Amino acid sequence: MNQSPVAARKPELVQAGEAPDKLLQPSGHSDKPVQDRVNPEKVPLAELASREWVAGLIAGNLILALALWLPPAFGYPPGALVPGGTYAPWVFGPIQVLLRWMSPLLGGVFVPVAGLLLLLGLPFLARKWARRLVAFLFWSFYAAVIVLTVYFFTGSR
Amino acid sequence: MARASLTPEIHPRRSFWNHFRPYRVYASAIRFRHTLCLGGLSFLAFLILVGTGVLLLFQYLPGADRAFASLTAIDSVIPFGRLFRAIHFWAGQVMVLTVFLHMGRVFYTGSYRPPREMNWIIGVGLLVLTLILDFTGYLLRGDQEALAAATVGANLMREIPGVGQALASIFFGDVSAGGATLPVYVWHIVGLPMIIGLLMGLHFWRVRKDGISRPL
Repeated sequence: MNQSPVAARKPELVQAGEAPDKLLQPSGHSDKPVQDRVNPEKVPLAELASREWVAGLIAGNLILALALWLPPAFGYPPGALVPGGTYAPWVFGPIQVLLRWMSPLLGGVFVPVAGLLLLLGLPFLARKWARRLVAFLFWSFYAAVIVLTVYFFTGSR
Repeated sequence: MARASLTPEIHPRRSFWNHFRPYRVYASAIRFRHTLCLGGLSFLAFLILVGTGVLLLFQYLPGADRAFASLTAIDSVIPFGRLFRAIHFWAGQVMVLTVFLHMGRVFYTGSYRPPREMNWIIGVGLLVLTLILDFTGYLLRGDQEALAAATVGANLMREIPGVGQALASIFFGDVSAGGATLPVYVWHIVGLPMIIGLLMGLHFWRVRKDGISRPL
């Protein structure tokens, strides 16, 4: 068989039968029967694409239904007095709750930045710390965000 | 055997696109309960946001005195304007939710550990940018609540020691009259979507290169 340059440089791998198929292919082709070259653990992309279409259609219809039944409310025009005060968008609800309890620098900057640094550092903490401790930190943060968001909707108004 | 007689998945025509969409994928990686489709749904929501956002661009005008009026016109005068604005709004909320849930799923499956730590960091960046994208969209409503939110946001940014004042000026501009300023508008329609799009491409590429972690 016409070997590839890589296979020629590493004949010991070829003799030991450990060379990957692509090393034996001179130009992306193999003399093996076609059925032997198809990884049985893999399926055609169409299998994934069909699942994506189903999930996408369900989610797309859900968004359309929400848009039709619950269109976003209009706010008060600029300069108008807002009865009951104004609130942050819900995605920043946890920060608004923190700002009620802490100073702007602490609740608005330091705590959110500390949470962000925790998320960024998790892979590196996992190398040195016990997996359970890292999991505890992450899920505590995750739960705190959820609890503060729920509190923003229910308890802080 | 002639090349032309083979199916595409056996003799694929290779392209750059295959880095994201290979012809064959591991059967274990495409189970619904493996990923819950949350990453893909986040991407779908982003695509819907871009599509409806481009349509809204034709009618929306930034500025303290024009944003609210143009949004009112979109809602009440422009055909299907209210529907597209509502889809844009809900796609944004769905994206925030799915990105947050996706992060929990990724951690639960241990996909933040080597060799996927870089993709975890990219994902955290995408989460933060998604939140900022949602926030800037809220400010572009140009109403009184947006003014209050912009004022709070700018004041918080100014609290950052050293660079806070400059950052607030670059990101918010002058929010004394309204939240829908030109800098916020440009960040929302150009800066943030471009960065998010690039990071998403990198994120998907790393998913393919690093492989899918163990199923739930």
